[in-house]
Amino acid sequence: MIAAWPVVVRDRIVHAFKPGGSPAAEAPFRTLRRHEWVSQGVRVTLFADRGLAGQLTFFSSLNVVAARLARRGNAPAAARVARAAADLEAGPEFAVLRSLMSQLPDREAEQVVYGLLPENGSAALTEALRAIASRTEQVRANDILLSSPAEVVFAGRIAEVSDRFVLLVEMKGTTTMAPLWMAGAARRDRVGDFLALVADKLDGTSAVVEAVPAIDIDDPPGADGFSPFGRGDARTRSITADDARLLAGEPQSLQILVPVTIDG
Amino acid sequence: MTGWHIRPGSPGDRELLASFACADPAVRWQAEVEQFIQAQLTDWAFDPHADAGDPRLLLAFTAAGDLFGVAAHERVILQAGAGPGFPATKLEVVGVALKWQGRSFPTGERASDVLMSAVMTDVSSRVPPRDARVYAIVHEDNHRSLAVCRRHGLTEEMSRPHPSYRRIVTPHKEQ
Repeated sequence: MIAAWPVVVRDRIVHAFKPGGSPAAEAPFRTLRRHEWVSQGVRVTLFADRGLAGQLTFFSSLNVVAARLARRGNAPAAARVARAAADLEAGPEFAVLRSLMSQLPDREAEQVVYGLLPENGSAALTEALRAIASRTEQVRANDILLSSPAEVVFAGRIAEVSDRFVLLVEMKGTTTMAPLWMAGAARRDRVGDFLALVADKLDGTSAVVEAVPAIDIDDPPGADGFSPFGRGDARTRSITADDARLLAGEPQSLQILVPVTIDG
Repeated sequence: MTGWHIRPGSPGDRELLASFACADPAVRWQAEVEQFIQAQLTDWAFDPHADAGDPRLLLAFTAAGDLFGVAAHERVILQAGAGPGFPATKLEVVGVALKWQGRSFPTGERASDVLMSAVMTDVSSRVPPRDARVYAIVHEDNHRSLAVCRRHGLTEEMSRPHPSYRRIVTPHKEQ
């Protein structure tokens, strides 16, 4: 499967919380911190040719989800997802990524967080990001709210690039188009690149659509990712032609074995 | 006066559901049901972006106030590819508390039958009315739930959404 890039900078989280404001603003991030709707992040010490070049803090992309939940007023879910982000950041996959990034020149390390791998980058770096992306998708698959209709993700490979648009194709063949400038801002504007479009619902007729870099990963393990619960797995509603023939008949009246009154 | 009391759930029931025990933790498909009820059902039932499906959460209490059953359902569209859609009610979850599994009330009604009857009553009374087409997805080893579903009219077998899970539906007259 193709998954959204699993690490983000602070600005993405702020943007998800306050889409109309400045992503660099401090106050929204303090609010997220105060309510524990964002994790601590992972800090990497960067080096340049002449020595120490500063520190970079990056976060699990689950924090973007938590920020959206907080914006929608679901504080318990925001805190829950932020805790899941913190658990991921404390795990071995992030430790490996942090170690590899600390060995990169400062600019290349920053680019990794934005979705760009170094041209001569090691396979280990790619695998570290894949591992984090896989764990992230497992968390998303196991959480009911993260399959809410309020957030729609279209992740695929760029099949064509014109002077104004890119054509994005999902693994199952569905296609959509995104403006070239959006794909470029996500650092994914060449044929073969992986790109995700995330539609974040604001109200019944509007959404924020964000282009984010993506990465290809193995499908999450365990029951093929199937859950009988929730709204995210289309298999629970998808039927065969034989099923359709069965259902085409007139439904018979429902049976009620025990007379029951429901209060309220 | 009956030995039970059924009411719709509310967002304030989150804490109550967090301690609802209905599974042997060593059995994965049982633990899956309990985990959903404890950690996710409230979010599922009150997701403001899912109103179109009219999700319903029902809580069943004994006369003494113990929560013995939890059930939820919503309206969905079953679809075969680009073909017509069939409106149906999906039984999202039906869970009987561990200490009430296999038990009956002093008046003879099984706790599981009271809970399922509450679900069917609720489905039948929704406005706008729903089609009398109710289905459930049940793990193939969950023989107790399969038996309860059969008793309450889910007798037809549809295709499996996953090799380990059966999908059963209320009957339809042949065309």
